[in-house]
Amino acid sequence: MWILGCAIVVSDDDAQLTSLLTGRLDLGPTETHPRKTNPRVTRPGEADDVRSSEWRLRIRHDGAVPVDVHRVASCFVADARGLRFLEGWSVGWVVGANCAARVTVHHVSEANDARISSVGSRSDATFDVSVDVFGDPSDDPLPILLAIGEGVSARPIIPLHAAILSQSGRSIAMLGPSGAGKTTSAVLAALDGWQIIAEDTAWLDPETLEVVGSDRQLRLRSGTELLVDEALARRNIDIAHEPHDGVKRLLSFDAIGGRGNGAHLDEVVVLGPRDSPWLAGPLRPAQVAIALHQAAGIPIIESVRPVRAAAIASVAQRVSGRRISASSGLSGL
Amino acid sequence: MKLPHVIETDLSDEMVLLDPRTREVFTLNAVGRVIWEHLDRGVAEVVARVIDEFDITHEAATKDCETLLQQLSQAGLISAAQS
Repeated sequence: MWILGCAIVVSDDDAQLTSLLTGRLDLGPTETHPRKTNPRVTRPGEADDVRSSEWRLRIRHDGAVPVDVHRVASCFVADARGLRFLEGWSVGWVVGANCAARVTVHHVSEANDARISSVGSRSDATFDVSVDVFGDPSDDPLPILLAIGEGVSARPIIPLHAAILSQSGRSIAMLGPSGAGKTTSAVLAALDGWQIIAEDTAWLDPETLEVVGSDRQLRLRSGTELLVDEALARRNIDIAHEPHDGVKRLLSFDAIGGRGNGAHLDEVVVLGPRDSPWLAGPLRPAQVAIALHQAAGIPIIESVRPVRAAAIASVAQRVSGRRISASSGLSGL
Repeated sequence: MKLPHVIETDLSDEMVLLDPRTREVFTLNAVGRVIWEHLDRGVAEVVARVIDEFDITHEAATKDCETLLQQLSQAGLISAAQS
């Protein structure tokens, strides 16, 4: 009998995230027959097939704030046309230094204008969430950003730090920390006939498995440009004049054939690091669930957490999962 | 007793337990899941459920339950009083 454990991460540190992803998902073969003895819990690093991790949560502002929740939520706020004050089910509060935000999720949407939409994204995903703002958010917008992310999660919609690719009616969510190769893989896949739904940020409806993207452009990390440039050059695509944002190179979706509007998710693919041993192969539903938890982050508001867990359980039992090495290329997709 | 902050992801044949305080996640197999599901009812009830659902002797089931409860307690997933 096996009962395995490993560490989980919500972090904005790429190196730590890479380390954790490896540790979490590098689970070895397991027994297929559950009716045996000696159940046990294995702490990170104690099992032969589980690596340890030194990861710890980053704290922002005065609260325990999963940074990737902020990152996902921020794309919504950037596009929001306004925050409405509506009656509904209050999920909880997010309190910052100078203001607080109360999240409200509406079970039934009766009017389109009562929604906060990811306006500007081609997905046009909409969620029935409102946020009441108390105090002055001008210098501290984080509670609002987080509140929206929490509210959407309570809907329940799963925010994913993932690249979403689609081809011939089949769609995959490519998970992995920043630097794992999601964007590079997405660009190369796009040049190979795949359509990019999302490069970094997506929303997944656990009921319908519909996944939509929120990215407006591709962001390429330094060091991946050569590989991408060579691939683009072979297709006679010139991106020499694409801008940088100081950290990453920005690439228009139009440069690689546009961006897809959304798709039905069929598979979760976890990218392993290039420079470490990585066993390619299928993932059990539990491993898919862990990968989804990592890609989504842990909700701040406690009442949202079981909602998120149930949503992830539903998805993990209905999609296939596998892991591949970023260095192995995309031939296996 | 299960600690209320532990996040359960029930996958029918497995269970993923996520501790948001330590950011650790544990997976339980089918037997572990049954033990977790019923552990608040006491060891005797848990053992009975395990015997009902798995081909295992009372002695072995009792040993497994006690071992797992101890490890769950050490992992900070259940209160020590019930372990």
